[in-house]
Amino acid sequence: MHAIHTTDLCKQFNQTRAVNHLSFSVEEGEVFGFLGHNGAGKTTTIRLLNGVLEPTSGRAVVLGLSPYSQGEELRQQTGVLTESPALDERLTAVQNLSIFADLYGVPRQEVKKRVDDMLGQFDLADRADEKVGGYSKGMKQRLAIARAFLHRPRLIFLDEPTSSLDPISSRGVHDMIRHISQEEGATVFLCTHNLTEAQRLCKRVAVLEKGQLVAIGTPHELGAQVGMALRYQLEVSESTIQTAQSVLSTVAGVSEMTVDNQHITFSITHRETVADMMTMLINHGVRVYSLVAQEATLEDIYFALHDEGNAS
Amino acid sequence: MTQWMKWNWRGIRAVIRKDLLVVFKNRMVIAPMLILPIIFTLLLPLLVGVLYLNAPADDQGFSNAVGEFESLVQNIPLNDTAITTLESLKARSLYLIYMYLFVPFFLMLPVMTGSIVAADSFAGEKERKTLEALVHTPLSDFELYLAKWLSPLITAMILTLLSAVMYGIVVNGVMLSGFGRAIFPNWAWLVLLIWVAPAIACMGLGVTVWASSRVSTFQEAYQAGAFVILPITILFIGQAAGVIYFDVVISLILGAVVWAFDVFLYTLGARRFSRGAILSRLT
Ligand SMILES: Nc1ncnc2c1ncn2[C@@H]1O[C@H](COP(=O)(O)OP(=O)(O)O)[C@@H](O)[C@H]1O
Ligand SMILES: [Mg+2]
Repeated sequence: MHAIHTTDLCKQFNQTRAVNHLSFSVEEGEVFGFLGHNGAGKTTTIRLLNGVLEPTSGRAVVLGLSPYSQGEELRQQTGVLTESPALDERLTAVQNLSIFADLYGVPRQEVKKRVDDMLGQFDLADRADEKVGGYSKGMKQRLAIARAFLHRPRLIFLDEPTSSLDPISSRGVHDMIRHISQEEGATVFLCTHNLTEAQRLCKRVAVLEKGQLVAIGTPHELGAQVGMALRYQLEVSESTIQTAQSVLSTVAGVSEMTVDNQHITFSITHRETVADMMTMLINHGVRVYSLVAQEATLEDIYFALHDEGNAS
Repeated sequence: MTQWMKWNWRGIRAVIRKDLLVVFKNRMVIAPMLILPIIFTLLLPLLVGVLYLNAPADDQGFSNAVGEFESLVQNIPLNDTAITTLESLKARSLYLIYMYLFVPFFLMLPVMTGSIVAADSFAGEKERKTLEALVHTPLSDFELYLAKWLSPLITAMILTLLSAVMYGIVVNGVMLSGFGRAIFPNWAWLVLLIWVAPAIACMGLGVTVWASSRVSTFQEAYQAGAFVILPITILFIGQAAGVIYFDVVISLILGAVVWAFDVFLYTLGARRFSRGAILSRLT
């Protein structure tokens, strides 16, 4: 079953079309990355998917419900980390969490234990009774994530969870996201403009630009989509490097070959070619030490998509 | 099952608890709400009582002033029988001051508290960006709106009733020590506190909620609210001071009129209130 499925979802503000004919699906249990720079429409999409905003046109089905008309029922099962932590700074961590436990209908007898567990898990237990106003940014963010996950939602929306954090806090947040997805089996909808983050955490990503979806798939699929060749580096014994070179030049789909010492670097358009190529090399007696894939990073893909978008 | 039983009362209570906790931690909000009651329900009535009780009986100026005061009151059809059972001029004057002159304060306190707390819980919450998390909770628009009305109302009533208790202690203390009689509260006061005060509180908060939908900070909301509330308050004070006259019937009518206005304000705000709309004004 799809956790999220949208068809032609649109949201128009006065002059701005923040979300423009968005159609995509998110599988249950996956970590789905939603990439886009500022103003692309990520936050608006979360609001549409969680029934906070009414779409101008189009349709969304989230956890089998219609977000806007069945918002109360849907929001029982979703958790949201908003762009700013939106914590009550005058209240303590415990107060912040227990109020939201009530708001989300966590069974009364479990509230205290759940709040304590969360604070322990997110490494906030020793400052649980301090006012949140005195927390560091990283602590606030951890508390906000704890709050989003307090009621064990089936679907969790994270809106730029690490954009204001230093690398160490970011890593902590990444660990938590992995934990949430693996241990609890929740679906994670991760909005970010941090490409390394998406690459690390997400199975599939969608790239959003000016409210429109410009690409969707695994990072690998996206690379193919923008026609980005895969780079490989082959290491062979010095004595067989000549043979290797001549074999490679006969393989269809291999291009941009360069040689230095024992290394041959080349591009391949399809992954499948790699297996055939290896068979041929070995059959010709080439002694292979290593083959390293230098796949395009999400960053390369993102900028390629961006350039493509600007060109058209 | 009736409609209101199906509402998410636990969620509504959580919002109210949050608002009250936050409000009572904000000095800018709590200071005016505490200073006024201390002046009007403790210091001022105590001062008046002490001055009256200690004024020498043969002080010509004093009895002249009291005499004038009495004749003013006698021109009004006062069907307050309690006053006729008081013997001395001093006792009667004090009775009039305590039971009538202080009425406007108990109209001002709920209107002011309701308005301040509403400004904090609507615009203040926008300002602190905490509203963003609230709109993603399972509460319906209606439940959110209701909770946002109840927090200022509850705060105003707590404060008003506590002030009334404090005032009662001072007034009865003075009257008991001077004349051996407790006078507070009478039926008119009970109606005022239980029927009129919450209505007035709702008026203050309703106007502020209405005004704060156009602004984005606590200060602006409070000022916008005060801009509307001040004339209303002055009108009330003027009325009350000019007539020095209120009783059970008048309180009941006054309350009914204000409640009707509240219903109008509530529906006006409810129609404009949706989580999408408050978010739009937020950004
Ligand atoms: N409530 C609103 N009213 C008007 N315009 C809005 C509103 N919310 C968002 N927008 C506009 O919609 C676009 C997308 O915004 P947003 O969803 O916040 O992007 P992102 O989260 O990707 O940075 C922006 O141009 C923004 O200015
Ligand atoms: Mg955003």
